Amino acid sequence: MKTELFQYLKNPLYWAVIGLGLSFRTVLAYFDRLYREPQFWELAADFWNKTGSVTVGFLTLLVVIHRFSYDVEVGVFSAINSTAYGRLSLFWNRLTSGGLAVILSVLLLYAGNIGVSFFWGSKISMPYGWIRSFTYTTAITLVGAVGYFGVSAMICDLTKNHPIAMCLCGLPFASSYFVNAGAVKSFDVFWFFRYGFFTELVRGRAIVSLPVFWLIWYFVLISLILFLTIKERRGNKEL
Amino acid sequence: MNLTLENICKLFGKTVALEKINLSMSSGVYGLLGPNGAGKTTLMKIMTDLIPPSTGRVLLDGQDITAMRAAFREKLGYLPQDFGVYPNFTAEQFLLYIAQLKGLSRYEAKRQTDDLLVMVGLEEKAKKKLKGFSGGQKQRVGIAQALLGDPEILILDEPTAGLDPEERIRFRGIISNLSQQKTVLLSTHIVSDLEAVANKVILLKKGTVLDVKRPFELLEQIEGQVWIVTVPTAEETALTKKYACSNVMHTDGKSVIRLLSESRPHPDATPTAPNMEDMYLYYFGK
Amino acid sequence: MPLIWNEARKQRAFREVWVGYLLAALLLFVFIYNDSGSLTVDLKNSWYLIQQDIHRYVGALTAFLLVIGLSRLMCYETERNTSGLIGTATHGPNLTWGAKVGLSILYCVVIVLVLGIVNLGLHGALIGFQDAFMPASNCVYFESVPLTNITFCAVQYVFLLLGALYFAGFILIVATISKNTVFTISFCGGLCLASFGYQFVLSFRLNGMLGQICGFIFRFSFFGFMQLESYRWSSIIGWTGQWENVWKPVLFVLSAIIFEFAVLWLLWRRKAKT
Repeated sequence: MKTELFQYLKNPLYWAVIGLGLSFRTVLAYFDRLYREPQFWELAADFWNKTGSVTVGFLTLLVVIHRFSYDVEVGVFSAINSTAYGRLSLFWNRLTSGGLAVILSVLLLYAGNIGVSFFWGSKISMPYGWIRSFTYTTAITLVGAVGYFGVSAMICDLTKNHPIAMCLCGLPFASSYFVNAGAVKSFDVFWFFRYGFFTELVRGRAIVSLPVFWLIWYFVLISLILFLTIKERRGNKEL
Repeated sequence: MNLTLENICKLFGKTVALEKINLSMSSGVYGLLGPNGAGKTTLMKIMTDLIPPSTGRVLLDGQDITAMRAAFREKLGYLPQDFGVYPNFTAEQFLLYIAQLKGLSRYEAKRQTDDLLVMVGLEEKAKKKLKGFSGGQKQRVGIAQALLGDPEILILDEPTAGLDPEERIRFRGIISNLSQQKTVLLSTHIVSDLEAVANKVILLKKGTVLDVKRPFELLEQIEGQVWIVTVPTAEETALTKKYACSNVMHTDGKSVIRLLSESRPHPDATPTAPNMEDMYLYYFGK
Repeated sequence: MPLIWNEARKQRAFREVWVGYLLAALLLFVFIYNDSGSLTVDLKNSWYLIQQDIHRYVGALTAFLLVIGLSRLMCYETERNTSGLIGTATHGPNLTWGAKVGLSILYCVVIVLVLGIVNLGLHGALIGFQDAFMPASNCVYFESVPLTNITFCAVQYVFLLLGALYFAGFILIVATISKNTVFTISFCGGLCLASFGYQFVLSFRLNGMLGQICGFIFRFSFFGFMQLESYRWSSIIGWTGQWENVWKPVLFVLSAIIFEFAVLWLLWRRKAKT
């Protein structure tokens, strides 16, 4: 698992995406300080809603899940599949280390946003409990990010095709940003787009509408994808 | 027709891939022999105008091939080393596609495609998708596409890779028939292929040409330097460490070693006629 | 023409393209279904609402299909190790460039045509094509247009096609330079998302010089044209433009398309270094 984790951390794209996200946040924070000083800390707390969640989404789709189709792309799949630990245990290792990489990225972005906000907003008084509140939203983001990574990784493993996985997982993730929560009704198609693909959680928002339903939904979604992945691996003698 | 390489050098950053290559080729089969990393593929890519040389030029009948552009490619047939195909094309569709790119008319493309599929023994698989082809079958498709358009210059990079012995013999027959009117340059690690078809062998090591000779002339150079000796297995290591060995066979607790040495390496050693593998070892062995 | 069909045959092997078609069809169905209620309720403003289809989702769907469908087109030869064959065939580089560009143009036309027919057809049918041939009274982007409702909506799809060609050229350039499908999808898809993010979120937050620069870039970018914002040609985005000035953005986008394909030609004809 250490080797797999280092593969993620050695990838310059991993750091480039995180760096890009934080750079964008830095620029936005600067303009927030210039033009929207009274709302500065409110906007800082809103980090996961836009910049942070987009960064995590990009990191997951572009960098982290690629490991699951990389062997097939470069032609080493057969060789790895023929080794003692190259099948299921490698899959679990990659899933675990990928999850850890995603958690690390969330923590880095969390620390980065706090640093940037403190830097630009040092002269603006911080509301009481801001850090506690931001940490709470980060915890929600963490759960969402890990869940999103898990499902995306399994889809990438199922299809063994990175562009397809990006398509299947990216479109529902992205479309959630464009769905107006106030205008959707429960059990509407757009309601599922908005809340059903981890985006709401990655944006740091707990789903308060029918939480039990969504708990069951996510459980079923993850279980179903896992079941399909294991079934496909069994069929292809990759277990 | 004369293909000339004048002072070809190729640098990749600070790495010298090719250094002052000067060659002249007319019709016949030329084998390009060298270890991995010698620069064979790079040289072939320069000769096919796929990559530019850092210095020097390639001339066809006195004209720079870079300036000739399509006129040069009209006379060229190329099989790259890592030959790829479109998996959802059938063999026939793939050859027809390449024929179109080579500027053949529809009628001529169909005629040559059918003839070449027969020549490489794939007429029954013409309508099958390439994704179902074995490595050897794909290689035969590669050879067929190189021959489309009846090119005067054939440059084949590892053409027999993945072919079984029967297919290799068939390939040698094809090349031998073509060699009368064409310039064929083929690179391979299978030295027996060169011995069978090549008129001349170009030895390339670390980007420089060591020698250009006929196969028998190269063998003559190491005449009297190839020995066979049978020793107890315990003595094997000492000999193999000291001399370049082209073969070691174990039988009845003894080792039969074939090695290279200017003088008799062992009291029991007997001289034997050299082969191309011995020659390869002589020039490229450590 | 046969070579374009060969390129189309290659494109049929791109698995992500089929996934893209499926997702786009699903989303299109969802959007149309969602729209059906508001169209039939507010008949007086139906054509005004239909005008905004491209702005609301058709532009985004078109961009998505272009990114998914074209990213691999220029990278395929490198990925499949056939670039040596193409490069050494007599007319290989020229004919392949022509075929790929031809397919890209055809692909843009087909996407816009299908999306346009489906949208206009279904939305028009929902309101019984009422007032279709009446002069367009209320326009989103222009103060007034001398066209009927349905003609103006159709003309908007022509504008979308120009924007799509503009974006397609960019995708092909990125793919030719990078020779990496995933990078091309991510980069072009990321630019897409960033543009939509700017249009719907950031444009209200960015002030001063930065806001003007971003607005200028957006206005002359592919997304500005695909979202039809750039055809207004007004001094400030958000205000309606004059129909008499529409030839200016059309001329710009045509020039940009020609420039892009010229650059693509030069890049495609570059020799490999290794």
